[in-house]
Amino acid sequence: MALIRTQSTRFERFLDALYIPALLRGFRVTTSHLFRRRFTQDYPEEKRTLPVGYRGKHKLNLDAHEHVKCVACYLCGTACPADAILIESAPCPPGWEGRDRYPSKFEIDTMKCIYCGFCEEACPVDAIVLTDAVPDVLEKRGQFVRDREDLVRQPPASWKR
Amino acid sequence: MSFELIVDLAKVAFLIGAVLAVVPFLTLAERKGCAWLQDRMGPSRVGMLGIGKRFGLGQPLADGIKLIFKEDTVPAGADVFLFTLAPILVLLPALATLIVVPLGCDIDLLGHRVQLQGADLNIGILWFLALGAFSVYGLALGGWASNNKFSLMGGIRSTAQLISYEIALGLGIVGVALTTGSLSPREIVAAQGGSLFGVPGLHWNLFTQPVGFLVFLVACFAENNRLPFDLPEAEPELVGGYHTEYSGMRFGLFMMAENAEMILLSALIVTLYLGGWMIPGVDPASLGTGWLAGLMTAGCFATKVAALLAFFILVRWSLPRFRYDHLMTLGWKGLIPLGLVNCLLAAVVAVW
Repeated sequence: MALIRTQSTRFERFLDALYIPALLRGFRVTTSHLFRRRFTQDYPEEKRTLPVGYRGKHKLNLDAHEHVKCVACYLCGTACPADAILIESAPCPPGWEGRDRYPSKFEIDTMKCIYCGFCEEACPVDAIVLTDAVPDVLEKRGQFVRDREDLVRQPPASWKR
Repeated sequence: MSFELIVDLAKVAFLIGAVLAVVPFLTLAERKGCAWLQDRMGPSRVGMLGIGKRFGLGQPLADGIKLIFKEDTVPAGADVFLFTLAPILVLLPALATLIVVPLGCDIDLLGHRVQLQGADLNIGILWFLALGAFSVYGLALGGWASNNKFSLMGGIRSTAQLISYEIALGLGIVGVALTTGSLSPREIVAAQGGSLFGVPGLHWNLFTQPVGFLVFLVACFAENNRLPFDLPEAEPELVGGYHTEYSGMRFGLFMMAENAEMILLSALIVTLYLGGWMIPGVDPASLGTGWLAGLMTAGCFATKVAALLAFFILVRWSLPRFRYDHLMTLGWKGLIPLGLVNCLLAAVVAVW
Protein backbone atom coordinates (compact mmCIF):
# COMPACT_ATOMS: atom_id res chain seq x y z
CA MET A 1 0.00 0.00 0.00
CA ALA A 2 1.38 3.28 -1.05
CA LEU A 3 0.83 6.24 1.22
CA ILE A 4 -1.09 8.90 -0.66
CA ARG A 5 -0.41 12.42 0.48
CA THR A 6 -3.04 14.98 -0.33
CA GLN A 7 -2.07 18.61 -0.61
CA SER A 8 -4.63 20.84 1.04
CA THR A 9 -4.86 24.42 -0.09
CA ARG A 10 -4.58 27.38 2.22
CA PHE A 11 -8.32 27.93 1.90
CA GLU A 12 -9.12 24.35 2.90
CA ARG A 13 -6.90 24.63 5.94
CA PHE A 14 -8.67 27.86 6.87
CA LEU A 15 -12.05 26.14 6.60
CA ASP A 16 -10.73 23.32 8.79
CA ALA A 17 -9.63 25.77 11.46
CA LEU A 18 -13.10 27.35 11.41
CA TYR A 19 -14.69 24.02 12.52
CA ILE A 20 -17.99 25.14 10.97
CA PRO A 21 -18.02 23.13 7.69
CA ALA A 22 -17.02 20.00 9.60
CA LEU A 23 -19.72 20.66 12.19
CA LEU A 24 -22.38 21.04 9.50
CA ARG A 25 -21.23 17.80 7.86
CA GLY A 26 -21.51 16.07 11.23
CA PHE A 27 -25.01 17.40 11.83
CA ARG A 28 -26.04 16.21 8.37
CA VAL A 29 -24.90 12.68 9.20
CA THR A 30 -26.66 12.52 12.58
CA THR A 31 -29.84 14.16 11.27
CA SER A 32 -30.03 11.65 8.42
CA HIS A 33 -29.98 8.87 11.05
CA LEU A 34 -33.04 10.46 12.64
CA PHE A 35 -35.14 9.25 9.70
CA ARG A 36 -33.64 5.80 9.28
CA ARG A 37 -35.19 2.47 10.20
CA ARG A 38 -34.43 1.52 13.77
CA PHE A 39 -32.44 -1.65 14.44
CA THR A 40 -33.97 -2.46 17.83
CA GLN A 41 -36.56 -5.22 17.91
CA ASP A 42 -39.17 -4.50 20.53
CA TYR A 43 -39.08 -8.09 21.78
CA PRO A 44 -42.22 -9.06 23.69
CA GLU A 45 -44.40 -6.96 21.39
CA GLU A 46 -42.59 -7.86 18.15
CA LYS A 47 -41.71 -11.53 17.63
CA ARG A 48 -38.40 -12.22 15.97
CA THR A 49 -38.32 -14.01 12.65
CA LEU A 50 -36.19 -16.99 13.59
CA PRO A 51 -33.65 -18.47 11.20
CA VAL A 52 -34.34 -21.88 9.63
CA GLY A 53 -32.91 -24.58 11.88
CA TYR A 54 -33.42 -22.62 15.10
CA ARG A 55 -33.53 -25.04 18.03
CA GLY A 56 -36.06 -24.03 20.69
CA LYS A 57 -38.43 -25.77 23.11
CA HIS A 58 -38.50 -29.58 23.08
CA LYS A 59 -41.57 -31.52 22.14
CA LEU A 60 -42.53 -35.20 22.45
CA ASN A 61 -44.49 -36.48 19.47
CA LEU A 62 -47.45 -38.84 19.63
CA ASP A 63 -48.11 -41.87 17.46
CA ALA A 64 -51.26 -42.65 15.45
CA HIS A 65 -53.07 -43.88 18.59
CA GLU A 66 -52.31 -40.69 20.54
CA HIS A 67 -49.71 -42.51 22.63
CA VAL A 68 -46.24 -41.18 23.33
CA LYS A 69 -44.07 -42.24 20.43
CA CYS A 70 -41.02 -42.68 22.67
CA VAL A 71 -39.94 -46.30 23.20
CA ALA A 72 -37.71 -45.51 26.20
CA CYS A 73 -34.50 -46.65 24.54
CA TYR A 74 -32.31 -44.14 26.47
CA LEU A 75 -30.45 -43.17 23.29
CA CYS A 76 -31.27 -39.48 23.68
CA GLY A 77 -30.23 -39.45 27.31
CA THR A 78 -26.95 -41.12 26.36
CA ALA A 79 -26.33 -38.66 23.55
CA CYS A 80 -27.10 -35.66 25.72
CA PRO A 81 -23.81 -33.83 26.49
CA ALA A 82 -25.43 -31.85 29.30
CA ASP A 83 -27.01 -34.88 30.98
CA ALA A 84 -30.36 -33.09 31.03
CA ILE A 85 -32.67 -35.96 30.17
CA LEU A 86 -34.06 -38.33 32.79
CA ILE A 87 -36.03 -41.35 31.57
CA GLU A 88 -37.65 -44.20 33.48
CA SER A 89 -38.71 -47.11 31.32
CA ALA A 90 -41.78 -49.23 32.04
CA PRO A 91 -43.79 -51.95 30.24
CA CYS A 92 -46.61 -50.51 28.18
CA PRO A 93 -50.09 -50.43 29.73
CA PRO A 94 -52.49 -53.01 28.22
CA GLY A 95 -54.03 -52.02 24.92
CA TRP A 96 -50.97 -50.34 23.35
CA GLU A 97 -50.81 -52.42 20.17
CA GLY A 98 -47.40 -53.31 18.80
CA ARG A 99 -45.64 -51.49 21.63
CA ASP A 100 -43.36 -52.97 24.24
CA ARG A 101 -42.05 -50.27 26.56
CA TYR A 102 -42.81 -46.62 27.17
CA PRO A 103 -41.31 -43.88 29.38
CA SER A 104 -43.23 -43.74 32.67
CA LYS A 105 -41.11 -40.71 33.44
CA PHE A 106 -39.51 -38.37 30.91
CA GLU A 107 -38.00 -35.18 32.29
CA ILE A 108 -35.83 -32.58 30.64
CA ASP A 109 -34.07 -30.06 32.86
CA THR A 110 -34.12 -27.09 30.52
CA MET A 111 -31.67 -25.26 32.78
CA LYS A 112 -29.06 -27.91 31.96
CA CYS A 113 -30.08 -28.29 28.30
CA ILE A 114 -27.82 -26.54 25.81
CA TYR A 115 -30.24 -26.96 22.90
CA CYS A 116 -27.66 -28.82 20.76
CA GLY A 117 -30.23 -31.08 19.12
CA PHE A 118 -28.25 -34.31 19.67
CA CYS A 119 -31.31 -35.94 21.30
CA GLU A 120 -33.35 -35.27 18.18
CA GLU A 121 -30.65 -36.85 15.99
CA ALA A 122 -30.18 -39.84 18.29
CA CYS A 123 -33.90 -40.71 18.46
CA PRO A 124 -34.66 -43.79 16.29
CA VAL A 125 -38.43 -43.15 16.20
CA ASP A 126 -38.57 -39.35 15.81
CA ALA A 127 -40.23 -39.01 19.21
CA ILE A 128 -38.31 -36.00 20.52
CA VAL A 129 -37.92 -32.89 18.39
CA LEU A 130 -36.74 -29.37 18.98
CA THR A 131 -39.30 -26.84 17.75
CA ASP A 132 -38.69 -23.21 16.97
CA ALA A 133 -40.76 -22.06 19.96
CA VAL A 134 -38.65 -19.71 22.10
CA PRO A 135 -37.86 -21.23 25.55
CA ASP A 136 -39.91 -19.79 28.43
CA VAL A 137 -38.73 -17.36 31.02
CA LEU A 138 -39.84 -18.61 34.45
CA GLU A 139 -39.42 -17.51 38.02
CA LYS A 140 -38.36 -20.63 39.95
CA ARG A 141 -35.67 -23.22 39.23
CA GLY A 142 -38.10 -26.12 39.63
CA GLN A 143 -40.32 -24.77 36.88
CA PHE A 144 -37.57 -25.33 34.35
CA VAL A 145 -37.80 -29.12 34.70
CA ARG A 146 -40.36 -30.19 32.08
CA ASP A 147 -42.13 -33.52 32.59
CA ARG A 148 -43.65 -35.87 30.01
CA GLU A 149 -47.12 -34.33 30.02
CA ASP A 150 -45.71 -30.88 29.57
CA LEU A 151 -43.41 -32.00 26.76
CA VAL A 152 -46.38 -33.54 24.92
CA ARG A 153 -48.73 -30.63 25.60
CA GLN A 154 -46.66 -27.63 24.60
CA PRO A 155 -45.67 -26.40 22.20
CA PRO A 156 -48.96 -27.67 20.66
CA ALA A 157 -49.03 -30.59 18.26
CA SER A 158 -49.38 -28.29 15.27
CA TRP A 159 -45.95 -26.88 16.06
CA LYS A 160 -43.88 -29.26 13.97
CA ARG A 161 -40.95 -28.37 11.89
CA MET B 1 -52.97 41.65 49.46
CA SER B 2 -52.69 43.94 46.53
CA PHE B 3 -53.29 42.75 42.98
CA GLU B 4 -49.66 43.35 42.00
CA LEU B 5 -48.36 41.16 44.82
CA ILE B 6 -50.67 38.30 43.88
CA VAL B 7 -49.64 38.58 40.23
CA ASP B 8 -45.94 38.63 41.15
CA LEU B 9 -46.29 35.56 43.35
CA ALA B 10 -48.25 33.78 40.63
CA LYS B 11 -45.56 34.61 38.07
CA VAL B 12 -42.77 33.30 40.29
CA ALA B 13 -44.75 30.15 41.08
CA PHE B 14 -45.46 29.64 37.39
CA LEU B 15 -41.83 30.10 36.32
CA ILE B 16 -40.37 27.74 38.92
CA GLY B 17 -43.19 25.25 38.41
CA ALA B 18 -42.79 25.35 34.64
CA VAL B 19 -39.04 24.76 34.78
CA LEU B 20 -39.35 21.95 37.32
CA ALA B 21 -42.10 20.38 35.23
CA VAL B 22 -40.22 20.62 31.95
CA VAL B 23 -36.87 19.40 33.31
CA PRO B 24 -37.91 15.73 33.77
CA PHE B 25 -39.37 15.62 30.29
CA LEU B 26 -36.21 17.18 28.95
CA THR B 27 -34.28 14.18 30.28
CA LEU B 28 -36.77 11.97 28.45
CA ALA B 29 -36.38 14.03 25.26
CA GLU B 30 -32.63 13.71 25.65
CA ARG B 31 -32.79 9.93 25.89
CA LYS B 32 -35.36 9.58 23.12
CA GLY B 33 -33.50 11.98 20.85
CA CYS B 34 -30.24 10.16 21.48
CA ALA B 35 -31.91 6.85 20.70
CA TRP B 36 -33.43 8.11 17.46
CA LEU B 37 -30.13 9.57 16.33
CA GLN B 38 -28.50 6.20 16.94
CA ASP B 39 -31.22 4.12 15.20
CA ARG B 40 -32.48 2.82 18.55
CA MET B 41 -35.84 3.07 20.30
CA GLY B 42 -35.10 4.62 23.67
CA PRO B 43 -37.31 4.31 26.76
CA SER B 44 -40.48 2.43 25.81
CA ARG B 45 -41.50 0.51 28.92
CA VAL B 46 -43.23 3.00 31.22
CA GLY B 47 -46.37 4.91 30.34
CA MET B 48 -48.23 7.50 32.34
CA LEU B 49 -51.79 6.57 33.42
CA GLY B 50 -51.78 3.92 30.73
CA ILE B 51 -50.91 6.19 27.83
CA GLY B 52 -47.71 7.01 26.00
CA LYS B 53 -45.96 3.75 26.85
CA ARG B 54 -44.29 3.66 23.46
CA PHE B 55 -42.79 7.07 24.16
CA GLY B 56 -41.77 6.25 27.72
CA LEU B 57 -43.95 9.06 29.03
CA GLY B 58 -43.74 7.75 32.60
CA GLN B 59 -39.96 7.34 32.48
CA PRO B 60 -39.16 10.72 34.14
CA LEU B 61 -41.45 9.83 37.05
CA ALA B 62 -39.90 6.38 37.37
CA ASP B 63 -36.41 7.91 37.30
CA GLY B 64 -37.41 10.40 39.98
CA ILE B 65 -38.81 7.70 42.25
CA LYS B 66 -35.67 5.63 41.76
CA LEU B 67 -33.41 8.56 42.60
CA ILE B 68 -35.37 9.43 45.74
CA PHE B 69 -35.26 5.89 47.09
CA LYS B 70 -31.62 5.26 46.25
CA GLU B 71 -29.15 5.23 49.11
CA ASP B 72 -27.69 8.67 49.61
CA THR B 73 -24.04 7.98 50.30
CA VAL B 74 -21.56 10.48 51.68
CA PRO B 75 -17.94 9.44 51.12
CA ALA B 76 -15.64 9.05 54.11
CA GLY B 77 -13.65 12.20 54.73
CA ALA B 78 -16.09 14.37 52.79
CA ASP B 79 -17.01 17.82 54.01
CA VAL B 80 -20.67 17.08 54.65
CA PHE B 81 -21.84 20.71 54.76
CA LEU B 82 -20.22 21.68 51.45
CA PHE B 83 -21.15 18.30 49.97
CA THR B 84 -24.83 19.07 50.64
CA LEU B 85 -24.55 22.72 49.68
CA ALA B 86 -22.98 22.16 46.25
CA PRO B 87 -25.97 20.76 44.32
CA ILE B 88 -28.23 23.44 45.83
CA LEU B 89 -25.79 26.14 44.76
CA VAL B 90 -25.92 24.85 41.20
CA LEU B 91 -29.69 24.52 41.00
CA LEU B 92 -30.79 27.77 42.67
CA PRO B 93 -29.21 30.27 40.24
CA ALA B 94 -30.58 28.34 37.28
CA LEU B 95 -34.10 28.69 38.71
CA ALA B 96 -33.69 32.27 39.91
CA THR B 97 -32.30 33.72 36.70
CA LEU B 98 -35.34 32.95 34.59
CA ILE B 99 -37.40 35.73 36.18
CA VAL B 100 -35.74 38.39 34.00
CA VAL B 101 -36.71 36.69 30.74
CA PRO B 102 -39.74 38.27 29.02
CA LEU B 103 -42.11 35.49 27.96
CA GLY B 104 -44.62 37.53 25.95
CA CYS B 105 -46.13 40.94 25.28
CA ASP B 106 -48.00 42.94 27.95
CA ILE B 107 -51.60 41.94 28.53
CA ASP B 108 -54.59 43.54 30.24
CA LEU B 109 -55.84 41.37 33.11
CA LEU B 110 -58.86 42.50 35.17
CA GLY B 111 -58.19 46.12 34.29
CA HIS B 112 -54.50 45.96 35.13
CA ARG B 113 -51.55 45.99 32.75
CA VAL B 114 -49.56 42.81 33.41
CA GLN B 115 -46.10 42.08 32.02
CA LEU B 116 -45.44 38.50 31.02
CA GLN B 117 -42.07 38.62 32.75
CA GLY B 118 -41.07 37.61 36.27
CA ALA B 119 -39.53 40.97 37.09
CA ASP B 120 -38.65 43.86 34.81
CA LEU B 121 -35.11 44.50 36.08
CA ASN B 122 -33.36 47.24 34.14
CA ILE B 123 -30.10 45.38 34.83
CA GLY B 124 -31.59 41.98 33.99
CA ILE B 125 -28.59 40.89 31.94
CA LEU B 126 -26.21 41.68 34.79
CA TRP B 127 -28.48 39.68 37.10
CA PHE B 128 -28.03 36.72 34.75
CA LEU B 129 -24.23 37.11 34.63
CA ALA B 130 -23.97 37.52 38.39
CA LEU B 131 -26.08 34.47 39.22
CA GLY B 132 -24.70 32.46 36.32
CA ALA B 133 -21.23 32.76 37.83
CA PHE B 134 -22.62 31.19 41.00
CA SER B 135 -22.90 27.74 39.46
CA VAL B 136 -19.09 27.65 39.26
CA TYR B 137 -19.05 27.61 43.06
CA GLY B 138 -21.41 24.67 43.10
CA LEU B 139 -19.30 22.58 40.74
CA ALA B 140 -15.98 23.51 42.34
CA LEU B 141 -17.30 22.91 45.88
CA GLY B 142 -18.90 19.63 44.84
CA GLY B 143 -15.55 18.49 43.48
CA TRP B 144 -13.66 19.71 46.54
CA ALA B 145 -16.02 18.35 49.19
CA SER B 146 -16.13 14.82 47.72
CA ASN B 147 -12.61 13.96 48.95
CA ASN B 148 -11.87 12.26 45.63
CA LYS B 149 -9.12 13.15 43.20
CA PHE B 150 -11.29 12.70 40.12
CA SER B 151 -13.99 14.94 41.56
CA LEU B 152 -11.39 17.56 42.40
CA MET B 153 -10.01 17.40 38.85
CA GLY B 154 -13.54 17.88 37.53
CA GLY B 155 -14.09 20.82 39.86
CA ILE B 156 -10.83 22.46 38.80
CA ARG B 157 -11.58 21.90 35.14
CA SER B 158 -15.04 23.36 35.49
CA THR B 159 -13.65 26.42 37.26
CA ALA B 160 -11.11 27.08 34.51
CA GLN B 161 -13.59 26.40 31.73
CA LEU B 162 -16.49 28.39 33.11
CA ILE B 163 -14.37 31.42 33.97
CA SER B 164 -12.72 31.37 30.52
CA TYR B 165 -16.01 31.15 28.68
CA GLU B 166 -17.74 33.69 30.92
CA ILE B 167 -15.66 36.29 29.08
CA ALA B 168 -16.87 35.13 25.68
CA LEU B 169 -20.41 34.99 27.08
CA GLY B 170 -20.08 38.56 28.33
CA LEU B 171 -18.67 39.76 25.02
CA GLY B 172 -21.59 38.16 23.21
CA ILE B 173 -23.92 40.16 25.46
CA VAL B 174 -21.97 43.44 25.16
CA GLY B 175 -22.52 43.57 21.40
CA VAL B 176 -26.29 43.36 21.88
CA ALA B 177 -26.25 45.80 24.80
CA LEU B 178 -24.30 48.34 22.71
CA THR B 179 -26.69 48.37 19.76
CA THR B 180 -29.76 48.32 22.01
CA GLY B 181 -28.40 50.84 24.49
CA SER B 182 -29.90 48.95 27.42
CA LEU B 183 -29.27 46.03 29.76
CA SER B 184 -32.96 45.32 30.26
CA PRO B 185 -34.09 42.13 28.51
CA ARG B 186 -37.43 43.80 27.91
CA GLU B 187 -35.82 46.64 25.95
CA ILE B 188 -33.59 44.22 24.07
CA VAL B 189 -36.62 42.23 22.89
CA ALA B 190 -38.52 45.40 22.02
CA ALA B 191 -35.57 46.59 19.90
CA GLN B 192 -35.81 43.40 17.85
CA GLY B 193 -39.40 44.08 16.81
CA GLY B 194 -38.51 46.27 13.81
CA SER B 195 -38.71 45.09 10.25
CA LEU B 196 -35.89 43.51 8.29
CA PHE B 197 -35.99 42.60 4.57
CA GLY B 198 -39.51 44.06 4.63
CA VAL B 199 -40.72 41.49 7.20
CA PRO B 200 -41.94 43.12 10.44
CA GLY B 201 -40.87 41.57 13.75
CA LEU B 202 -37.74 40.06 12.20
CA HIS B 203 -35.10 42.61 13.17
CA TRP B 204 -33.38 39.93 15.21
CA ASN B 205 -29.85 40.38 16.48
CA LEU B 206 -29.06 37.03 14.85
CA PHE B 207 -29.20 38.76 11.46
CA THR B 208 -27.50 41.99 12.48
CA GLN B 209 -24.73 40.37 14.56
CA PRO B 210 -24.20 36.79 13.33
CA VAL B 211 -20.67 36.67 14.74
CA GLY B 212 -21.88 37.73 18.16
CA PHE B 213 -24.57 35.05 17.99
CA LEU B 214 -22.00 32.39 17.21
CA VAL B 215 -19.75 33.48 20.07
CA PHE B 216 -22.67 33.59 22.51
CA LEU B 217 -24.03 30.22 21.39
CA VAL B 218 -20.71 28.43 21.78
CA ALA B 219 -20.09 30.11 25.13
CA CYS B 220 -23.54 28.96 26.27
CA PHE B 221 -22.67 25.35 25.45
CA ALA B 222 -19.48 25.69 27.46
CA GLU B 223 -21.27 27.35 30.40
CA ASN B 224 -23.74 24.49 30.46
CA ASN B 225 -20.95 21.85 30.66
CA ARG B 226 -22.56 20.00 27.81
CA LEU B 227 -20.89 18.10 25.04
CA PRO B 228 -18.70 19.04 23.19
CA PHE B 229 -17.52 20.97 26.26
CA ASP B 230 -18.36 18.51 29.05
CA LEU B 231 -14.77 18.25 30.28
CA PRO B 232 -15.71 18.77 33.95
CA GLU B 233 -17.59 15.48 33.91
CA ALA B 234 -15.70 13.69 31.12
CA GLU B 235 -16.63 10.08 31.96
CA PRO B 236 -13.74 8.27 30.25
CA GLU B 237 -11.11 10.44 31.92
CA LEU B 238 -12.62 11.49 35.23
CA VAL B 239 -15.21 8.77 35.98
CA GLY B 240 -17.87 11.48 36.08
CA GLY B 241 -15.92 14.47 37.35
CA TYR B 242 -17.37 16.62 40.09
CA HIS B 243 -20.41 14.36 40.61
CA THR B 244 -18.47 11.07 40.83
CA GLU B 245 -19.30 10.66 44.53
CA TYR B 246 -22.88 11.87 44.34
CA SER B 247 -25.79 9.46 44.42
CA GLY B 248 -29.52 9.51 44.94
CA MET B 249 -31.34 12.80 44.92
CA ARG B 250 -28.17 14.87 45.39
CA PHE B 251 -27.02 13.58 42.04
CA GLY B 252 -30.56 14.21 40.79
CA LEU B 253 -30.21 17.85 41.81
CA PHE B 254 -27.05 18.17 39.70
CA MET B 255 -28.86 16.68 36.72
CA MET B 256 -31.88 18.91 37.30
CA ALA B 257 -29.58 21.92 37.48
CA GLU B 258 -27.91 21.01 34.21
CA ASN B 259 -31.25 20.68 32.46
CA ALA B 260 -32.72 23.80 34.07
CA GLU B 261 -29.65 25.71 32.96
CA MET B 262 -30.14 24.37 29.46
CA ILE B 263 -33.67 25.81 29.44
CA LEU B 264 -32.43 29.08 30.92
CA LEU B 265 -29.63 29.47 28.37
CA SER B 266 -31.99 28.65 25.52
CA ALA B 267 -34.39 31.30 26.81
CA LEU B 268 -31.53 33.81 26.98
CA ILE B 269 -30.29 33.03 23.48
CA VAL B 270 -33.85 33.54 22.25
CA THR B 271 -34.16 36.80 24.18
CA LEU B 272 -30.84 38.25 23.10
CA TYR B 273 -30.50 37.03 19.53
CA LEU B 274 -33.66 35.33 18.25
CA GLY B 275 -36.14 38.14 18.85
CA GLY B 276 -37.64 36.97 22.17
CA TRP B 277 -41.40 36.64 21.82
CA MET B 278 -41.55 38.49 18.48
CA ILE B 279 -43.56 36.61 15.87
CA PRO B 280 -41.95 36.92 12.41
CA GLY B 281 -44.31 38.71 10.04
CA VAL B 282 -46.37 40.34 12.80
CA ASP B 283 -45.79 43.96 13.73
CA PRO B 284 -45.56 44.04 17.57
CA ALA B 285 -47.41 47.38 17.65
CA SER B 286 -50.45 45.75 16.03
CA LEU B 287 -50.68 42.97 18.64
CA GLY B 288 -52.51 45.03 21.26
CA THR B 289 -52.83 43.84 24.85
CA GLY B 290 -55.44 41.11 24.64
CA TRP B 291 -54.92 37.78 26.32
CA LEU B 292 -54.88 36.08 22.91
CA ALA B 293 -51.89 38.21 21.86
CA GLY B 294 -50.19 37.26 25.11
CA LEU B 295 -50.86 33.59 24.47
CA MET B 296 -49.59 33.78 20.89
CA THR B 297 -46.38 35.60 21.76
CA ALA B 298 -45.70 33.28 24.69
CA GLY B 299 -46.33 30.32 22.39
CA CYS B 300 -43.88 31.74 19.86
CA PHE B 301 -41.30 32.16 22.61
CA ALA B 302 -41.84 28.58 23.81
CA THR B 303 -41.49 27.27 20.25
CA LYS B 304 -38.17 29.03 19.78
CA VAL B 305 -36.90 27.70 23.12
CA ALA B 306 -38.03 24.18 22.23
CA ALA B 307 -36.24 24.38 18.87
CA LEU B 308 -33.05 25.48 20.61
CA LEU B 309 -33.35 22.65 23.14
CA ALA B 310 -33.65 20.21 20.24
CA PHE B 311 -30.51 21.76 18.79
CA PHE B 312 -28.72 21.32 22.13
CA ILE B 313 -29.62 17.62 22.07
CA LEU B 314 -28.59 17.22 18.43
CA VAL B 315 -25.21 18.80 19.16
CA ARG B 316 -24.66 16.63 22.20
CA TRP B 317 -25.11 13.40 20.25
CA SER B 318 -23.24 14.60 17.16
CA LEU B 319 -19.94 16.03 18.33
CA PRO B 320 -17.05 14.44 20.21
CA ARG B 321 -15.53 16.04 23.29
CA PHE B 322 -12.81 18.67 22.94
CA ARG B 323 -9.32 18.08 24.20
CA TYR B 324 -8.58 20.40 27.11
CA ASP B 325 -5.94 22.52 25.33
CA HIS B 326 -8.19 22.76 22.27
CA LEU B 327 -10.96 23.99 24.52
CA MET B 328 -8.78 26.71 25.96
CA THR B 329 -7.41 27.62 22.52
CA LEU B 330 -10.91 27.95 21.14
CA GLY B 331 -12.00 30.04 24.10
CA TRP B 332 -9.05 32.42 24.42
CA LYS B 333 -7.73 32.58 20.87
CA GLY B 334 -10.98 32.07 18.96
CA LEU B 335 -14.09 33.24 20.73
CA ILE B 336 -12.70 36.16 22.74
CA PRO B 337 -11.04 37.92 19.74
CA LEU B 338 -14.16 37.25 17.65
CA GLY B 339 -16.32 38.66 20.42
CA LEU B 340 -14.09 41.74 20.67
CA VAL B 341 -14.27 42.33 16.91
CA ASN B 342 -18.05 42.00 17.11
CA CYS B 343 -18.15 44.48 19.99
CA LEU B 344 -16.01 46.91 18.00
CA LEU B 345 -18.31 46.67 14.98
CA ALA B 346 -21.38 47.03 17.20
CA ALA B 347 -19.86 50.09 18.85
CA VAL B 348 -19.10 51.68 15.49
CA VAL B 349 -22.66 51.01 14.33
CA ALA B 350 -24.11 52.29 17.62
CA VAL B 351 -22.18 55.57 17.47
CA TRP B 352 -22.62 56.07 13.75
